Amino acid sequence: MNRVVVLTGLLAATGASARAQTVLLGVQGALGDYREVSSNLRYRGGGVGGSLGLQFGRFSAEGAVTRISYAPRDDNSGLADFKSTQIDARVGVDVGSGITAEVGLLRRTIDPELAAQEMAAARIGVRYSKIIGPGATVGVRGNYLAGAKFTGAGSAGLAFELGLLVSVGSQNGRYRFTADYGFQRIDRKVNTAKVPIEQSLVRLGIAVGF
Amino acid sequence: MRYAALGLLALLVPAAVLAQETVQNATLRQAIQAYEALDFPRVIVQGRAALRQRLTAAERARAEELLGFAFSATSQPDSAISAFREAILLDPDRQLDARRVSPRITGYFNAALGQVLVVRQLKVDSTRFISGSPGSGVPIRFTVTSPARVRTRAISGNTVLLIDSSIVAGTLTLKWNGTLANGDPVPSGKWTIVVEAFGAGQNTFSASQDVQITAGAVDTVPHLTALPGYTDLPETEIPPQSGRPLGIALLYSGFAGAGALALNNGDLGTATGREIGVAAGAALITGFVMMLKKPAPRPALGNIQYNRLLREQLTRRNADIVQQNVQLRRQVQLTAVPIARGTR
Repeated sequence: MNRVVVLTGLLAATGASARAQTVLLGVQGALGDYREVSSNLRYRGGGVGGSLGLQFGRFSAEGAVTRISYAPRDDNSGLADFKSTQIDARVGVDVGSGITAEVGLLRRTIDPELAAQEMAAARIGVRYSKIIGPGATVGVRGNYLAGAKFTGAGSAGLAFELGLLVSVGSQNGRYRFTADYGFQRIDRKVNTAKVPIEQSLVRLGIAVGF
Repeated sequence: MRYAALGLLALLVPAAVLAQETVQNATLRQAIQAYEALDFPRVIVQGRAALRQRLTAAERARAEELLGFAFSATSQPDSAISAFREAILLDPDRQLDARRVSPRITGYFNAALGQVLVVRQLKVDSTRFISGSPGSGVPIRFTVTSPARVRTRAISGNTVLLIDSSIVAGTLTLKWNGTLANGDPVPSGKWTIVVEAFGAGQNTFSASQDVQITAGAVDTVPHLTALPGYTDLPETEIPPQSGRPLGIALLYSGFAGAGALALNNGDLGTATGREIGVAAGAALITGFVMMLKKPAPRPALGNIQYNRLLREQLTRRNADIVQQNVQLRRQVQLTAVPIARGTR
């Protein structure tokens, strides 16, 4: 949790100190679907999130924190509820034609600790955005999650993330409605045992630019 | 008999030639009266006496010339030439009227001219011309009595312009094109044309002529802010309304949904689809609203290119105008009027 505060504070400080740039501060409601190991470990839940985006010429940075309370989809499964806190951080550079190359970090912590897999990974990928009208943008994102680490050990040879981004608001960028969908597939293995993880997460919210 | 012939010869010198200048010195006046009375020995005596007195330069030249005439009349060529030589040095522009003076006297006078180095008859004509134009300029004429290197310069304040430097003997005609070393026209003001002759040894002579130069106004071409007949086109355009925004939203949502479905790990069962449904719904609603909304202006690339070419053309034309104005500023009408003349 301390890291969340530090990261958010760092991004906020960066945004406050830079004057010739656009800062987008947002709050979101979130819905999530989390599955792990087998089809028996299935959770769904909702929560809240916050985000901070920074645009400086061709460069951009964004950070988001999402906290979701997951509950088993099957009430009779005997599984315990848990809370997930996911931190997403990305920096990107616009390479032209709406394509942005981005790198970043993913960190997900679980409370209580052993209720699900905590993990961290680096991400590298691209984002493609398209303006579809005055102040409206849709985009897709594909990230490879590299070097994934888990509290329960193991590794993930194949881990990636697919996203859908929607943003609509005033043309001056002051107010925006945002929708951010991310689907993660992590083919985790412990020794030879397959213990995959999948998460679908959507965040709907508003943002203020200044 | 001899003096009678010489008297006839002397009569060819009109009294007007001798009386053309006001003479203050009494002795010189007596010499003139003696000459008019054909009393040449007395002319010589009175002339020499006058030269020993205080005379102006003009009177001294007059006295020497009178002696030259008297010596010519008394057949003393060496003395005549010597007297004429002194007269020429005192007044280089002194000229005998060949129609009224006997060829013999003219011959002595010309012989005297050949023995001295002077710049005579320096004339600068009034003129009006375009500075730097080929063949045009301020006409300058002068005569150098002996072969010498002659340097002709135009001087105004600290500005010294060399007009010509050459070996000259006789009459030379020059044209000063009225330009500075960098090609610009000379500024208005008083200029002095100085002609210096350097003969053998230390023998030098110079003459000068002041000229008032007046530069005319320059009509330069103004810079263009637009090309005639061409105007900028708007650099943005509003595209027609279409279903494209909804189509794009549908495409992207479909891509994300299909991607998530394709990437789903079968071992974990099927995802609920709630999350992608919410996100896709938001995208589709956004696309639908944008489909109904007036599209935002977008860059009109063709017009931007057109405007860029237009601006380049304008820039080129203005660059041409700058060059043209440089020429126009150099092609100034100059008016030259001689002011006064001096020698030394």
